[in-house]
Amino acid sequence: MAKQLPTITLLFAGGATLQTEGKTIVTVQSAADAQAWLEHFPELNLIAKVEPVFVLADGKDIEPEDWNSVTKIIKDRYASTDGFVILQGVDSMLYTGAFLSFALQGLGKPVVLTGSPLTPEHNQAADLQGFISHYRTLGVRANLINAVQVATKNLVEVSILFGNQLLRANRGRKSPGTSFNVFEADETDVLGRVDFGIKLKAEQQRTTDPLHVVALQDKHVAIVRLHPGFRPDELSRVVQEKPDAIILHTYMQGGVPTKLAPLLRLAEQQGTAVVVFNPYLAASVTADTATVISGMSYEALYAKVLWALSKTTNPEIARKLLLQPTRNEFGTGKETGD
Amino acid sequence: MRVYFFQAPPQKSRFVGVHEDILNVLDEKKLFYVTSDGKNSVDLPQEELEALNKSGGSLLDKMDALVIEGSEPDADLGYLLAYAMSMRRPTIYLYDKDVSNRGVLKYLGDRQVPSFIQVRSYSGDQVVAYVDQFLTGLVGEKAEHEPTVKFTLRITPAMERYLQWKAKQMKMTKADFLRDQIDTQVMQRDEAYKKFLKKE
Repeated sequence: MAKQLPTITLLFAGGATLQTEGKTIVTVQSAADAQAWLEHFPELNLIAKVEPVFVLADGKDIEPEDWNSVTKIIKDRYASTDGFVILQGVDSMLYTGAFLSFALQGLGKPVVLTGSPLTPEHNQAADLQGFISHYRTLGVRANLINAVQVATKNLVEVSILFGNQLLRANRGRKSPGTSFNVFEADETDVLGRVDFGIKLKAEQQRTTDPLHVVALQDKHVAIVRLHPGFRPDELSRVVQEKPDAIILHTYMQGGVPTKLAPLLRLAEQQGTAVVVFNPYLAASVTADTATVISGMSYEALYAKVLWALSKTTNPEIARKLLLQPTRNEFGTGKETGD
Repeated sequence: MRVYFFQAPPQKSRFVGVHEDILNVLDEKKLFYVTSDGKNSVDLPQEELEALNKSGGSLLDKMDALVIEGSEPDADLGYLLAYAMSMRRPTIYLYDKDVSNRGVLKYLGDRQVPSFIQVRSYSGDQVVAYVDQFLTGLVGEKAEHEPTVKFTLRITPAMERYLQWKAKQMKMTKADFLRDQIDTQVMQRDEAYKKFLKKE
């Protein structure tokens, strides 16, 4: 008997801007649009049985609660599907990818994010028309075909397929310039490339272990970007709001200005976790008044803080979770564990 | 013209002889070809590969046509046909007549197979004739769209500055940018010219 095609669940969460042959722009605004949109891609039937599920219309407006919708769909359909593709706008893809990498524990199948590099606004921008028409094959159509093919392969992590690269989702970053490789990563975090097909650097073993999902709790995470001349009263106002966590994006190799120490102590005393995002240190450490995290992308750190606070209410355990590599978010070669 | 030839891995295939026949046709036609087995008739220029890698394109984008020998099941067959459909690449999909069905194409209704994808079941030497006819037709069609006509165009220094800047922005050569503009922004939009071509 002939082998059946794999079943792939396609989640619509933005990023579905499609320019048809007739130059019409087609997007997915509701569940009713999803099947009709998919009918523009009869060629997908050659790769997999694709089952569409609508999540939300515009990825730009994605909220952390929407991530719970995504993880619930993945959990509900986990046993009956061979892999997942999530269409999402480029603006929030790194956040979503990073969060999913932490929230889907024991993942034994591929979860691939992709989308259109173009928004309806891009299509109206006169100065981009030459670029768009020259690379017209590289839009959502090529990304989707490539992502569905990746979802049929042996890969057990959350990844981003865009342009000709397959990246580890929680290690990606936006790339500068006008290119359909909208994201980039260090070479060790490139999981595969598109040339005459999808070439994975290494096949991974699929597993049948049960999937555990960490549901996101309603947490308030405040972000404060420090700079020379930063005034303590700016941080004071944030601390008074008693958020669950404050991420301080520092500019200093040594941490944060000493004048902020009393405020950081006050925050800790009132139960606000303080996390310093330090892109300059080589290691993550626990300081007197804050957890200093280095070596992660900003998007991955934000997602991990939400995940850690959702997983535990114990500040000490949350601190340990933040410092411990779990999904290669500090780069490959670091010890990982749930 | 550039052709990508997909064949089942030789160490597993019962159709190695057929694959060799197809390669002979490609050689006789003196075409640039790449095979899924890693044989290149010549190498792609390094500069072109670097530009392609930066732009986010795939090597398949650089191929003008696909020849697929699909008698044996392979996970890449469906993907290649899907890509050919999406890029509207002329493709010939060949399978031995003793193979009972059309492989992955059974998942597509007959009316969904576009005209630029030829599906041929072969026996014996027919495969050589099918590939030869397919490529001969393509070479003639391709010549019409190849940038082979050369002429000198004098432009102003301001235009040159603009072209330098724009080509860098678009990660294209200046010539490619101008050709693309003439094709997509001028010719394709000129309804009067389209009417003229119909009358011709």
